[in-house]
Amino acid sequence: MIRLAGAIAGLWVLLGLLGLLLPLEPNRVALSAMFTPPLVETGQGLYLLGSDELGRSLLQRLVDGAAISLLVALLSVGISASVGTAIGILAGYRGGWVDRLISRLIEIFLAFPGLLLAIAMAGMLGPGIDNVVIALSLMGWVGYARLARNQVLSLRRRDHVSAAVALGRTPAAVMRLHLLPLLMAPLLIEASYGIAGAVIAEAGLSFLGLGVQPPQASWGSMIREGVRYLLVAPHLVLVPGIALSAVVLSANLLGDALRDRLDVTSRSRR
Amino acid sequence: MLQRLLDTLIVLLGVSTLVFFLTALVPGDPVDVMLGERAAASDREALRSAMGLDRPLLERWWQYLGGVVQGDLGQSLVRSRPVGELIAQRLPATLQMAAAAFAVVLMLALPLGALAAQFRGRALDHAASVFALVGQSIPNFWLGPLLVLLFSISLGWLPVSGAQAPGSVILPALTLGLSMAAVSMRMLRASLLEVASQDYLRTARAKGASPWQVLRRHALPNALAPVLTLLGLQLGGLLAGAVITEVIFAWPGIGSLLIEAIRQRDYPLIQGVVLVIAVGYVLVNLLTDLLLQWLDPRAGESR
Repeated sequence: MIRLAGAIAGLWVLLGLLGLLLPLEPNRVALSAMFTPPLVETGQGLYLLGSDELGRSLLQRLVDGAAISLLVALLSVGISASVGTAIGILAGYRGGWVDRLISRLIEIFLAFPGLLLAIAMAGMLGPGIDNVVIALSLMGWVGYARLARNQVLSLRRRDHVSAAVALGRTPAAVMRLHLLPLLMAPLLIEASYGIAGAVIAEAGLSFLGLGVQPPQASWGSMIREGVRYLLVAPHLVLVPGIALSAVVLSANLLGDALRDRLDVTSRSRR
Repeated sequence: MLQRLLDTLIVLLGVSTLVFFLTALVPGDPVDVMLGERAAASDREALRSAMGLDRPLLERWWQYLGGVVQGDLGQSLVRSRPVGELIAQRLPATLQMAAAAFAVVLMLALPLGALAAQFRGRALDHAASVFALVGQSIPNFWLGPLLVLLFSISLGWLPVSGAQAPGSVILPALTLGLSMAAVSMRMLRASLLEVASQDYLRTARAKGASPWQVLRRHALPNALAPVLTLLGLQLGGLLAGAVITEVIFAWPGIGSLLIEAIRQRDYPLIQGVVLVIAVGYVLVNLLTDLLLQWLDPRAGESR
């Protein structure tokens, strides 16, 4: 099971990189080959995963969409994890009014359930893939900040921290060298669930029309456009949906496996 | 208790402030975005003062908060009606769908979670955890079309979209509720297993209570606290999840209103819907906490 999850995640990364590097033509229109079902040979050649309402190759669009989801997931998780962790460590280590202020801020951000804040922010920023990354990062830092803060609150009284302080380490050095390394395990687990969340969020925003703009392919926008032809060509919705669910499922499974391996009992909100 | 209420007030204040400052994300000048670059200067000025953009930021913020406290969410730019009125019109449909979805969550999660814990390690438990994992990983904007494909198009049992036809709430409720049911089921199972090793359950079994009695009288009441917290979080979360679900099924609630507002760049309306959902979420969580404290006084002491 876990091998399968690893393989799917690996395939996703590979497809994403291919999508970024290969000179694909995901937007090439071939009206004579529209709505080709998967594995059917046409005058335009073989369509492994079929074609859409404009005769565009679903395989190429899938690869293109993989690149988008990989890019958004890595960027938004990278940004929100590093910013959130820094803020969380600062709050936990400094305590006092800094902690109270940051904790309040975290509480306020957590008052927006699910994708609501990202939808609102993306709506304000306007569509576009860069705005999706901004919105997801603005929403995502909170989880890492809360995790880091709670961990640091219990770690800061450890002997090695007191020893480092007594030896005259600056607060910045204590946080970076003596606290951050101890946070890596729980942060890594949180980040793997974060990848799953970001992939769903990007697809969700694109489904709502707030993400990538046509003709650019994203798994979410492919589903959105395919829904109109559900009756004639269900593969337009099935293909990106299966890819999306498989990637999310394997990211969740890898997160579970990582948690069991690293034996971290406490896990923060998903 | 008083502290909890005070905290909630501060969070609500922060939430409305954050919602107010959402407009700061609009690139450039909102007036340019709405009217386009080539609009006449007089039109721009008129809209600017209609939106209050000619006044200082702090003053606008203060005024926004003052309005929110009195239930005034401003004026829709596109529909020239009060935002509060537009939301009130659409809210019942969303609440209806959320309630139906919550029923789906309860009907699936409670029996499945209890059965999975009861038959731990057996086929039924494995099947339930597969359901939980898959349910959690299928995004609702894919699940929705799949359900439509199966129940509306292939079988022809249920309407494809809209809210008029009888039974039209079933597919949206399933779409919205399934992933939450999966999470709650996992939670209930874990919580029941944790309780299962307690002494009072051994005592209950030793005195000859049937497994069903043990589950119902001793295990479930004690295992329910974390599940209740989660259900409270989810009940609020249903309001946010409703946004995507309403778009899939063309359901006339505040979720589709939010997306319409975004398409029309109706900023006050966007702010209003987001604020209403967030406030609803915070209040549901507050109520859950109070309910938990009432059910189990120990819950309050640890705070």
